[in-house]
Amino acid sequence: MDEQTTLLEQIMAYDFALYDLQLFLDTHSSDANALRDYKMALEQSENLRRQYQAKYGPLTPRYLPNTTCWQWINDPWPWDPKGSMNNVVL
Amino acid sequence: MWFYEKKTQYPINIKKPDPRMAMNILTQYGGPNGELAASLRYLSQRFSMPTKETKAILNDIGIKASSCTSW
Repeated sequence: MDEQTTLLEQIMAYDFALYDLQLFLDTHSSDANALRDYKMALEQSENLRRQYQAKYGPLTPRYLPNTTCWQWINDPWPWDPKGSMNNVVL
Repeated sequence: MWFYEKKTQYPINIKKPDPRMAMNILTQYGGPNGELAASLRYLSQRFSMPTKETKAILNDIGIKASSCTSW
């Protein structure tokens, strides 16, 4: 697996855990361990997301590293990890 | 309101494309007992929930269920 995919899958794993903890906390709002885990996963996820976006471009349209080019439309998209232009002749 | 990110909740790696299975899975998204319909039920039912826990959980499940219908 290439470095980009590895990094993205780490973000996905933390975000998956965050969602699970979110649902748990909805019904256990004063569970200190769950809150601590949530905070830890949130920090990891934000940190990895910063690294990913600096290196490989936006995960959301709100990441705007420079104002000369709209990078949001660049490949890859989740359903098309290799990029679509491989099988398109212009 | 949900925001799109260029990632999935779980990694997908289709090794053997299977159009018939794909149709079945699509029904699980959009069909009468699919994820899309379920998400709308969660999001409607949250309006009549009496406690803060149940409001939150139906909101959070409904949002996820509706975002899970797209890549």
